Amino acid sequence: MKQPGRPSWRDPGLLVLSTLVEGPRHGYSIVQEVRKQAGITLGPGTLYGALSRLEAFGLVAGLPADGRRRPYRLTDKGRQTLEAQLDAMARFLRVNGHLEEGGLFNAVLGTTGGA
Amino acid sequence: MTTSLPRRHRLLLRVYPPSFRERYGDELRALAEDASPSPRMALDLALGAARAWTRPTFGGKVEQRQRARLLATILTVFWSWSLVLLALASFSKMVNDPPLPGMRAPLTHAAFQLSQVAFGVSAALIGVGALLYGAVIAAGAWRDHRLRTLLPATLPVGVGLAWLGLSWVLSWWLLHFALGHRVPLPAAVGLVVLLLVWVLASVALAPICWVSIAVAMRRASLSVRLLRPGLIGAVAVVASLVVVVGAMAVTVASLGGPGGLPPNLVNLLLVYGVLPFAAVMTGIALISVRRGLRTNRQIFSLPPSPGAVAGDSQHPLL
Repeated sequence: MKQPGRPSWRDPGLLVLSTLVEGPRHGYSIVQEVRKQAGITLGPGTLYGALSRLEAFGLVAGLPADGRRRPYRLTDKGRQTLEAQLDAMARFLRVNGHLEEGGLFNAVLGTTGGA
Repeated sequence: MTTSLPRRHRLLLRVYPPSFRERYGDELRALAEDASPSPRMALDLALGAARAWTRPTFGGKVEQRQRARLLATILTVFWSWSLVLLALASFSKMVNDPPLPGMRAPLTHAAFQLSQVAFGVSAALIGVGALLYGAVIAAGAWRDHRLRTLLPATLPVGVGLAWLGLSWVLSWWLLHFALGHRVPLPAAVGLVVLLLVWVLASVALAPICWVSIAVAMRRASLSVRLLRPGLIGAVAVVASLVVVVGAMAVTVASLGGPGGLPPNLVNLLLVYGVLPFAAVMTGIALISVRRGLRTNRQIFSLPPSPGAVAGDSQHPLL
């Protein structure tokens, strides 16, 4: 269960922000990138719920629509928030020893062949 | 790949709040068409719509977002108030028509009277607000030659008049029956059909009023400056509703002793059922007013409260 204040890898808002780091994307492209990065398929309701919250808080901004598709870009505030969130996650993993040698995180990365 | 959406999915896209559909509707539909429609997607859309209604966020420009938030608060308080009206009417009928023996106790009597007076205050506020906003919307529509914006507001008047007409016809027929006149079978069937239409109209009247008032206010595109007095009125209405619910609770609690409530299940359900219902409606109005006040504070650009995370306590990632 989600706990307030605890970073979550599966948070749709975080996943959406991370896909926009390299540049603006529209809804379908965000869904594909999230699937590629995290293996999670965001439904349209979940994606636009997250986008509406992120836009309301000024973390992403909509660009002019291309037909029925509107690309979204990361704002400066969104970039800072994403960095702060990733830092919090890294701290969480470090404190719990998962980033140390022999830690769970490195063990998992080793198994999957990650960096 | 673009596919046409099944009817169920199209219907789910239509149940999103109007402000959400206005901002994201086309994109949401395009994405749903690009992905493969499935029962899982239908569930995702249903949950997304439920969340958009219960925890609304407003995209677009700042002014547009503030307007949408203030309007949502005013309408939510109005809807909650009208449901508390139904609850209080049932409650009053139950305990005071005829008065239960326990109603003579000074505390019970005073609490009951307080609930009536507090509700009267809220009704007066709603009435004044409705008149003022009606006048502002009508004047704006007249000035800008946009009389079409007034059309939704005429719907409840039409349905209300039809309901009154039906009620009159039904009363006449029932009196006819009561006086023992013979009624031919086709007329009796017609009477039953009329009765069904009357019941449907009675049930539909309140939702028609709610929806048409909401549509008229949205179409009027009232500015933040015009919506702010409505927010102040909404705060006063919610304060009155809190007093109403509190007084109802004291009435019920003081009626609970010997000689109080008649001990049959229906009476107990009616009396104790309407109280939580009224409390929940007041709670919903309270939450909405809190969100409206937060938006109002942002309009005046007051500094955020100490310890706020990234400028807001309702951070989307927390």
